[in-house]
Amino acid sequence: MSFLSGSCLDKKKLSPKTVSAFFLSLLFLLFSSRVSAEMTLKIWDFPRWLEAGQSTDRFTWITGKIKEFEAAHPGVRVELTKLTWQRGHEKLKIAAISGNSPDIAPGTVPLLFIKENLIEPIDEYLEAGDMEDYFPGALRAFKVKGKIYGWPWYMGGQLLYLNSDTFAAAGVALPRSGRWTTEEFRNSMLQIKRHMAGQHGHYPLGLYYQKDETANLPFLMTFGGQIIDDSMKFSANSPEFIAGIDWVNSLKKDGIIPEDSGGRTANDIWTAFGRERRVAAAAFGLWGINALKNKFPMNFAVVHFPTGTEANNGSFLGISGFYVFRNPDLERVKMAMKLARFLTSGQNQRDLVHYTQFPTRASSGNIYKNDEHMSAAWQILQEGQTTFADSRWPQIDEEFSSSIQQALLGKLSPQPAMNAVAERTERILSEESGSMKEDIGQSSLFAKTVAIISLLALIFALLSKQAHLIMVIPAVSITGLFLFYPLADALLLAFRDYRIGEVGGYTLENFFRAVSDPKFMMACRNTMVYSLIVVPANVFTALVVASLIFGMRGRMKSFFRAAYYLPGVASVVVLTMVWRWLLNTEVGLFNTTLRWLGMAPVGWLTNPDIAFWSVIISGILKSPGGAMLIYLASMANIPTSLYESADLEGAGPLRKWWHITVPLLRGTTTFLMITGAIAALQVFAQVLMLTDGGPGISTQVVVYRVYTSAFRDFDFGLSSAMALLLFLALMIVTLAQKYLAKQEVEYLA
Amino acid sequence: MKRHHANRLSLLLLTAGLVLTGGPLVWMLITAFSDPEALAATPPRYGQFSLENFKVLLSAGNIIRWSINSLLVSAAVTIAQTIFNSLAAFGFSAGRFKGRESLFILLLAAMMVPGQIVMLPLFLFMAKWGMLDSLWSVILPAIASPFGVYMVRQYMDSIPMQMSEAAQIDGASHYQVFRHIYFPLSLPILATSGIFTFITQWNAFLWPLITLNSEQNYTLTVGLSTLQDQQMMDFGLLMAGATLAAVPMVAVFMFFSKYMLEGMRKGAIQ
Repeated sequence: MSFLSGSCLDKKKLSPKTVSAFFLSLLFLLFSSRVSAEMTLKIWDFPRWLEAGQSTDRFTWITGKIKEFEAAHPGVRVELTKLTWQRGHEKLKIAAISGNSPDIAPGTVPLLFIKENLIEPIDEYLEAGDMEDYFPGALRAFKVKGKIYGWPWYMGGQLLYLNSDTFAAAGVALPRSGRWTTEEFRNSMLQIKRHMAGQHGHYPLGLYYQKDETANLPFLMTFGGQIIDDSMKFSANSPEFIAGIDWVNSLKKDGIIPEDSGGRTANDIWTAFGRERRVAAAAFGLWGINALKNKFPMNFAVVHFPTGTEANNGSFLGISGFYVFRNPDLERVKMAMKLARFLTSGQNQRDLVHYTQFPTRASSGNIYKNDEHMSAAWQILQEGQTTFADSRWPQIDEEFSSSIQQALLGKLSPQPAMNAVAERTERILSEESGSMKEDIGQSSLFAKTVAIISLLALIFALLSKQAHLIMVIPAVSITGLFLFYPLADALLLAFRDYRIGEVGGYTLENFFRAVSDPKFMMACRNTMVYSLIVVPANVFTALVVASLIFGMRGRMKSFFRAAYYLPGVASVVVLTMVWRWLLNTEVGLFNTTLRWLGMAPVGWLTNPDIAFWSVIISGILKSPGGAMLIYLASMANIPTSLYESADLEGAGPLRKWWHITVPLLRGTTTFLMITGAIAALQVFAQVLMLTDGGPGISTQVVVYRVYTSAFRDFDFGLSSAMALLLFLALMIVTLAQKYLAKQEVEYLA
Repeated sequence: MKRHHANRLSLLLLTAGLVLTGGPLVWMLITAFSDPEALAATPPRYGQFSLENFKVLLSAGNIIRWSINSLLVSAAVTIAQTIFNSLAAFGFSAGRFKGRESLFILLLAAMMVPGQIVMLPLFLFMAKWGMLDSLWSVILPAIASPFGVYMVRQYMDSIPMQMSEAAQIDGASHYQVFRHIYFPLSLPILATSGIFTFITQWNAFLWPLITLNSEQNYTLTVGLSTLQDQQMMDFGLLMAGATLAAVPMVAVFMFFSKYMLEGMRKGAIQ
């Protein structure tokens, strides 16, 4: 009964007084930060350019402009939310669809929000001369059904950049007046290829195809193909477009682009082109001009995309601005319009010179008069084209991009792949328009019932005056409120047709769609492989490490215990950031080492056959932390007498370990396997941050698919159906393991 | 003699394992303390000591404020969970009320719900109660954890009933039994799960990212992600940020580990 000695541990640390004092001060801190004003406008923005003297803050410009605006409008306070380029769009969509939008948000024409009737047209708020001042194209970009839904700010576009030095060194002339045919292009690239011979990881051209990236689409459209044709039909399965895909694949065969081109990201290619100079040509947005002038100085040229037909192969344009959300408070809308107009005024557009984007108002003047690159870019963009202006484009893009990736990675052959996309797109385009915004705000009847039953149970428990039951209530009701209630809400959606553009009745369709979704099937396969490898590996590592440490004494023991545990305290976010750095194709440690050894670099995250193994490796090579400690504690409970009698029989350390330690730890092992499997089946953050599900669909996992279908495609029905299937799988795993273990799971006992 | 060999072998194995499992973090430190210029060179030169990355990082944004927010959230959640989880665990372990096992199984089932599934309804719930963009939206859903209850209950189940029976014969109430017998005896496991909880909360990313909007309300992980600049992959800066996020956790562990391991040892003598 030395157990009792535990009670002499320091009790003061957690006395109720300390705890309540802490909570009170917490409350105070939380609420003290709120300041009131007559009117607080909320504006969200993305990071822009670095003002002089700034090294990381890309919000200096807008912060300054907001101050100016506040000074001119007493009583108005403007609150800026800083978005990130990576998750900003998702965040904005979630907020807007759920009715928690800001007053002003940035971006291209927000078709989805316009369809959901969330955006206020600016027509009434235009002032005299505004209409004439805007370039017609800029206003057209924000025009939907005769109304203008935003204040155009800047115009950008995608350009083909060439490293002039590499071209010169290879003796290749830059294309005359920036134009070239596909054959001229291929010949130039082949010449550069010869010049680069023998250098690992050096390529004449870098390509990337991701969702939301339009930079390289012209390469596919080089024989006149279009993704959506003029009659609003998906036409990327046309012979012209397939010819484009075949052409890009032939570039791969010639060694002009890397084998894993379909898996590269914009970041990879930028690093290879701008920083490492391993690539002689690549397409980026206008921002590249700024970057290549300042941060990564280079002699470069911007040129047209090659064309295989008589017609020009135009680059993609994007016109961005600020739009204002609807609000019953008209004064607020009026003030928001004023702010949006102010930020995009001709005077303020002059500052775009720091951003290397083109103004949308004539009154800003020619701010790039002395800039040869921007002047060239302006000429190229005159012939530019725009993407399909429809709120369903993101869904089509999602399907299209991942199929293109697979076609370029040789995972699918182009024609059938594009035909399949055409079929799915046809469905997306044929769907009725409808609004889900009103519906989504109301919690379902089912969830309400759950809530009422829980409440009744709670009252009953309190009335029953059973001390134990009452002690259980806080934890159970918190779980009920924040887990089961929303879960009920979410799961009900699994049986409803519930997505952007369609809010329908009850159906089982979602489950059929889930199992016929190639991404989901890939996700299931990957998740299973991941769990089957990572869980046993982690548990085994923990067991071996714990056993070895257990046999040590004194300082050595403490050292190893701490050294093995410590890395475990770092978050998945931190660890994944490190892994991304280690595995980076261009500058990561692994590939730098391979290059140093004279070997070809490996596409750790860009090669679809390797990427998922990289995810698995990052799952295995981590601290056995918690599991190791649990094992150590359990080992301490094994009676030493067992080992002593084994000693008498002359058993070696390995035999003792295998015949005494391992069997006696079975309870702990089962526990760790179950909890490990539950965690592994929900693997998510690693994939989100390492590969974002790509290249192609090669690293999809279930929770990632659940997340993307809900928050990127807004197909809540499908998402919930997949979540329900995952939930069932988790149940089965737990029950099966419990059954197999055939013994009560013992923890630390 | 044999024992000596075995020790050497395990030392070797442990060191090798350490290189593999701790390697990424060592690499993080090396990068964070490297000179950014040297890192950007081709080929990159590693290990040229410089504090430049941290200087840049600390001059940007509200790193201090973000850390305080993370600390508030993690501490509040840890304290609340310690109270609620141990109370519930005690109720489940010592109580004999009707529906005890079914309630417990219900709680266990909650462990299997992936957080991403309930994210949207929970977001709407928070919006309805005006908790968006406040630390409450991050704290409240986490103040009790089924996993914590499960862990503590398993531990409490090993405490002999005779002890509480004896106390009750002496006139102790259920609460007193909890307060003076079960709670102190469970401190080892409470410390362990407390550290887990603290670390989990400190590291939480996706949910705070979605609910917190104002910069002054960001937690550290969310704040750091805003520093990422997509086009210019500045790994030195990123790793410095990662280091700043990881170091306080090491401190927490160092500070509490004695307490936790001591508890584990005592619990183990039983």
